[in-house]
Amino acid sequence: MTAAGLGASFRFHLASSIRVTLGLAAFQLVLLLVLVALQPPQARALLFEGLAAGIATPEAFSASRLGFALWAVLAAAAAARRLAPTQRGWHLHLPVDLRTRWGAGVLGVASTLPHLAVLWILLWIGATLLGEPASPRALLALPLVALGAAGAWTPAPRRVRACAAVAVPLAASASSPGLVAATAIFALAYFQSGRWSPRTVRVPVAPSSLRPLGRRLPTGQLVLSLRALGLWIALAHLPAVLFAAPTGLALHNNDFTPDQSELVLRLGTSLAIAATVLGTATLLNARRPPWAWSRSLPWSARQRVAADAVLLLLVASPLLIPVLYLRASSGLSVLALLVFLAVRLPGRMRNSLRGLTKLGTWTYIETLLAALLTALQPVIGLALALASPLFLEASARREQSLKVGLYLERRFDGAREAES
Amino acid sequence: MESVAFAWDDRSRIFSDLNLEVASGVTLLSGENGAGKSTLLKLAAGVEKPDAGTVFVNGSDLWRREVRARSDLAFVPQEPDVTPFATVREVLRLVCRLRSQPMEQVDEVLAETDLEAEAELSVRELSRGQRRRVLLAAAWVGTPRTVILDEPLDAMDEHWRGRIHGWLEALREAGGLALVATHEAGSLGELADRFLVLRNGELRLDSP
Repeated sequence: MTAAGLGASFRFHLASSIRVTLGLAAFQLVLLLVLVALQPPQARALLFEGLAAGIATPEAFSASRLGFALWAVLAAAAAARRLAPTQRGWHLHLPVDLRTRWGAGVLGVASTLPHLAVLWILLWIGATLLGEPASPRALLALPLVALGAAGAWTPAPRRVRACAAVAVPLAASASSPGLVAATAIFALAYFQSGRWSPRTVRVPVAPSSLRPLGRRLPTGQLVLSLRALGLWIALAHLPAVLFAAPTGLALHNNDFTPDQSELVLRLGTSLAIAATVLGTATLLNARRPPWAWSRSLPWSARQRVAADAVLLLLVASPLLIPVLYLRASSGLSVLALLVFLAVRLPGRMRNSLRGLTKLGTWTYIETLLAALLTALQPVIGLALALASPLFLEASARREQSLKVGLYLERRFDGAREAES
Repeated sequence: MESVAFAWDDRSRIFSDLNLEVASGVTLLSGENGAGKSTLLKLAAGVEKPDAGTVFVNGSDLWRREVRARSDLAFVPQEPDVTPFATVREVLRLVCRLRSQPMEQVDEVLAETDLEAEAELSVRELSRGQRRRVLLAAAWVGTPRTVILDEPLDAMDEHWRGRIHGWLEALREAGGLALVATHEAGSLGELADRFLVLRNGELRLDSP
């Protein structure tokens, strides 16, 4: 690799990366900050302490580091997609060898992850300040995780990207053998990257197995729904605080037996999840008019309700992090409840033309009942989750049979006239 | 359409047993205001689901095989109904993706409909005529062979009326199918292969 070539190529990619970083990192950080800020102080402290200890721990297996590594891979995928045009076209004729080009491309994609690196380092420092065992190897792992994640998505033959991807979990282990193996595998990826022709390789956008999934679950609708919610999405988490805060205080201030504390944790989280999902569904129902014309496009009612279900899952899933961390078995039953609610409510949202909330009183009763039953008997949550395909189908039927013209006229035309 | 029944609510029944088969070519649909022309087109385009009966598009049941039936179908409603939460380009990208067309088509149809300057605007910022052109651009993505148009000449100037005329002519020559509701039978009449009149929820074939 020529230093001048790498420098020039990297500067070229860095200029593109900065623009991409601003867009992607800002979104990820705002989402993270909103979700963390809305947690009650004790849960926030617990989350911070857990993440800090997990990042800095000398132990080889750390869920925090693996979680951050997964985040790096997903963020790098999004960045690589945005940077793909800089990896092809006119500049391929410039006198830069393939390894240099790949190296610069990897550095360019890795440059879009500064927010993640800063968080990692801050958490590591936090762990040392809290007196938790902090291994310097955990810091050494960071650049390797970022480079591996970037390498997994930078255009190159599949074997090169696979090597880079394998380096990510190895580096995230932060053990001496893991770091050595990750470095060796990444070096192998770099070596292999000189043996291909970029003109014959397609720029990877998403794994081929995921593309049909993308068509089945149009991300476009998710984006439209998020825009419809706007900053109101922050309100969706407020009801959760009503349940999460007393739960945290009850656990902190009482000497419960393990069984009792598990029950309290499950009850609080189930109700918080139910409140968040109901809040989101109510806001979405009030702020997003059905898009009648789009029903003539080639997508199914099932796809449209599934997109809403994914949105509800995404909004409420951060609430699962503390409970999964504290008691994984309780977390799984609450996750099962969330899956059920996420597929059930899109149907309910398309149901009622009456009432203030437009979801209908029975929806509130049903949701709270499911939350209570899941808290008391986790098997019920699992049973509801297993039956979720049936509930998804029922929601799709409701989406199909919605008289969209009448719905728009009764629910939104008044607001439209007022707006105009 | 086979034995289609549809009512907005208990008091306003529009169709009780409607049967209709539309062959390829251009079919003009006329009728008095409130006769149910727009509702009929919405039922045919899959925007509204009939209370009873079946709607087939290209041999596929519109509500059982939703994706297949809609894959070669374009609908341009009278009221330009575009979500306010997306830009023009994003709407067209969604249509491209759902019709499995290359994204390059977005720029092509934007150029064809003179909407390049408005590509990054939300529909909130567009005039009614521009909004209708967005739906026209969406209808041109992937050149569907079954098109359903509700008052296509409404809010269009002479230039765009000519373009729509040309589009229908090309579609007809290519063996496609167009079902067009219009009050302006005069300007589109020369293209029509058959005329349908809707009265009191019943269809009647009219001579050209």
